[in-house]
Amino acid sequence: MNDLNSYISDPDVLLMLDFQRGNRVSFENLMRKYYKRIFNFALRILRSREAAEDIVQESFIRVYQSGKNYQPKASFRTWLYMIAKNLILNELKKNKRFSFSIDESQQGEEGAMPRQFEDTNLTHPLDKLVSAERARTVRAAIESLPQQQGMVVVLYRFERFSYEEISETLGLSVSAVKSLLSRARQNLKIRLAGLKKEI
Amino acid sequence: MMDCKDIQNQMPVFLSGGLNEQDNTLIHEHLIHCEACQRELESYKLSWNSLKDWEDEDPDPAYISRFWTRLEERIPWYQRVLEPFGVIFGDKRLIPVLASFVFVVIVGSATLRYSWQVHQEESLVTALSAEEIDFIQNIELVEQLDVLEDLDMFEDMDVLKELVLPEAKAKIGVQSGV
Repeated sequence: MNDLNSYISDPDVLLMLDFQRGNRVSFENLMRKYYKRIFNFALRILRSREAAEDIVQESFIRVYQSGKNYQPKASFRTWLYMIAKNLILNELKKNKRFSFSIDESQQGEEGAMPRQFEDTNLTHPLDKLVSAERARTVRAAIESLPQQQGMVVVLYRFERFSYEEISETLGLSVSAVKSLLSRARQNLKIRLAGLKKEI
Repeated sequence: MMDCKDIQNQMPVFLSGGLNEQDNTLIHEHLIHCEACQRELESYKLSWNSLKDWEDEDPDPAYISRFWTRLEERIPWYQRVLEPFGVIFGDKRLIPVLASFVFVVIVGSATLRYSWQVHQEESLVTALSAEEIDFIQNIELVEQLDVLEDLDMFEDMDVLKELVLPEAKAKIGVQSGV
């Protein structure tokens, strides 16, 4: 665990301390900075926009409620993701339909799960279709990973976390994180083998 | 010495930075002259890079207002009322100072009110003429008499008067032969 003072230089921690003194604008600034990130973190694991919105809102409610007693013991980002991760795990326990499994079918409950965003760089309908198909395959590949592998991949690849940050967020050792990531790479290579030939 | 199978087994660990320096060097050296392992490495990299195809999605644009509404629903009404004071009471060192301030304000206002009342009475008395003072004193005497009359002892005397006086009058009338 790092020294308390080392987190004081974290601009997010400073915003949080400012919020602790009653400045709501600082809290909203933190929300603007991290809302989309936490939303996508939850979405990539839970696969439901509604559930992801709930997780991100609940995460920020926890942050808000902790404001009065907040003491920087980790970087704000790690702390926030830790809150979100715990909420996601609770949701996974509560609702089995979200759960990750290596043996699970790559199809979600809603079927093929079409792309839910518009890619403005692609104009040709065929390009869009190919892109949607590739996104669906990638999504299915990540979803098919065991829970911890999936979380490590999402945090490392999409959230750009370091091994140390992942280890702190998930409560694992750095070597365990590396090992999970290695196995995830192996699984993804197998699941995305068909996709890479299309590149 | 590691062969291609060993190298390929170690590749995901190699890519995840999980190998020691010696194994890292061995794989690097092997990759320089082994095309099969180079292809294997490339296939790992391609699958990993293809993850970028799962792009970020945008949350509900009204998320901030939704958040405040959701929070409002959670907070009990008394906390909402006290919230603006939270800034003051957030710093616990200020509590004794604030308590002293409140005490001084209460005692000070009570003292001021008492002094003001005394001053008002004094100025009222000095503004009265001698006749008005006599009048007030008489009123006070009358009021005291009223109080006396209300006492039980005096009520008993009234009853006695009513009982005794008619008899006495009758006796006086008999004696005088009226």
